[in-house]
Amino acid sequence: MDVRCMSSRAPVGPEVLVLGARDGWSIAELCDALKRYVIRLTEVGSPDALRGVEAPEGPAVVVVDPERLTEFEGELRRFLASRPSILMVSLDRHLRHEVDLHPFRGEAVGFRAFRGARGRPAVELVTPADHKTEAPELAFRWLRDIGFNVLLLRGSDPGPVAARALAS
Amino acid sequence: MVEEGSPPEAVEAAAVHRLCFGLGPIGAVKALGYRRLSSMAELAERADRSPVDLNRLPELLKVADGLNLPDPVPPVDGMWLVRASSMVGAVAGELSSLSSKISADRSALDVYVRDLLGSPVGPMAFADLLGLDAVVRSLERGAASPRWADAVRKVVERGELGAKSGQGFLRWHHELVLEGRVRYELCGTYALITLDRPEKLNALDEGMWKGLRAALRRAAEDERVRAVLVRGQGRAFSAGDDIAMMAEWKGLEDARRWHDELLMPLLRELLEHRKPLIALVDGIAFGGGCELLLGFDVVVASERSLFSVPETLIGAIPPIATSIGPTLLGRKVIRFALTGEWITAEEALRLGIVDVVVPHDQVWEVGVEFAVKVMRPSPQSVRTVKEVVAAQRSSLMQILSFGTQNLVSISATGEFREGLEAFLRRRSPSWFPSGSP
Repeated sequence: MDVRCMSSRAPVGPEVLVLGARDGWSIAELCDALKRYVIRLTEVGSPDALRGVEAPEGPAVVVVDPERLTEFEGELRRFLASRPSILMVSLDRHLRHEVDLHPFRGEAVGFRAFRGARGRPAVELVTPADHKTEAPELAFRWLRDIGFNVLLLRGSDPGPVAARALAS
Repeated sequence: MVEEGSPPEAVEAAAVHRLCFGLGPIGAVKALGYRRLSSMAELAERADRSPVDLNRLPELLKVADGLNLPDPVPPVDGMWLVRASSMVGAVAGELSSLSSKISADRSALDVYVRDLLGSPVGPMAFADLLGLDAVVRSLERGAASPRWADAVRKVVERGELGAKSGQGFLRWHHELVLEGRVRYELCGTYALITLDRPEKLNALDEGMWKGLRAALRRAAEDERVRAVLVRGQGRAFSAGDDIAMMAEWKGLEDARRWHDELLMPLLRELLEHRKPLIALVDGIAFGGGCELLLGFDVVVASERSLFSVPETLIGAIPPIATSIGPTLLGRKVIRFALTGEWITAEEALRLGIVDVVVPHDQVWEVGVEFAVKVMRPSPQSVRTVKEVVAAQRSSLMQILSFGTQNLVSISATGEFREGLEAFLRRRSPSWFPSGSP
């Protein structure tokens, strides 16, 4: 996926699919921020709807609550096989190691999203230390290049860094 | 901090207006809201490093909600009494302990939190600039969690004091140059100049005049320096000109040489300096030591500082205060030049000699805060402001020179000799022939 061509506030770049609903604050915050930055969002309510999503050229970012992964697993697996994608799972209620991402372990990137001072979106990406794909770096560069404040953490999940900074 | 007695609006204002955080701690708690904050706190606790005591969370939010602070938070006088460095220390300590346990680059972590807070520098960089020994002291005095003080103390115990040692949470450029009794230090983003002649209350002899000028020049020429802090070692900023040096003048020639080679070059360097100049005063700033402050951009003073331009009491004149003083400060300065009365820090604040009066243990911290604050605007804008100010000040050089030339002229008189001699012999001067009223 080439993320270098993306510029902030331009309606270009990967299509963003939100699976299920805006479960939890991270997905809600990320979606609001992406909309403010004029990024296209497609909400996909069910596995059937995901099957109906056309697979045009170009990459996709798939955002989902980890508790909805099982429901979407089959269709999501097919979708990921057909299109270069970044799978991002929200970590509002879980630490990264607590989330059962099987069979997406090694592919999914955990994230938490916040709104920082003066409304600038902040996203923390969390991946296992042994994550093998380029997805974390791609997600990091994509978000950074559209103007978000991004932190990439590998290994053990310390919980929300923003909360530590703001509440300490 | 509220528990320590600081009013909530002062704590919030200190975070926003002193540390330049985009939002204060109370605003942050309110902005996060109960659901999100409790969820975050649960996660952090499960990760075994909770920044929020879960049992106190409802109470914390109730307090935050009930405060009804204005938005945006305005500056308040009380914010200068808050130990803001402990706020920086707490966040830096938290990030430090975090970074030692996760595989995130320290610098990246600091930049992330910097942008999250909307501040000019990250918390770890800020703590380094303050000096980690100062941050530890601040944390130890407060009610903050001891684990944050422990985290910073671990770094200090390795001899890593921050920008002033070249290594703290982050790595910094550090240089130390001795210009006689004037110490020049590059501390990362600012230069620290210390008048280091405490046994003479940092009185300005020839070496001090030369050293201060050389140090200011060095700071002006170093691209890495974004601000210059000047302070005095010991209990004085400076007691002014060294009277013993003046007493050694054999005649007008010596006075003229001092004027042309030492006094005027330093004044020009000071008044036309291209970097923000911040003076830290904790104690005495008398005579020339007080007058030099007129050339600074920001003067931070402790509540126990004393100021005076008492030169007339020893048969001399305060040449800067009397020439450009009325233009820069107003008419009231004339009274003090005529009488030599002492000026308290509060009065100096009213006169405009001083910008901020703070508790004596916070002079250093507030000075560094200003050095950080001038990193927020565009560097080009800061440079241009200083160029315009230098031009305005250079327009005062003619009247300033009139004042200093008058000091030279007066040095050849009997009253001047009598004044100096009386001062050195610790007796009252006798201005009139015996028998006069």
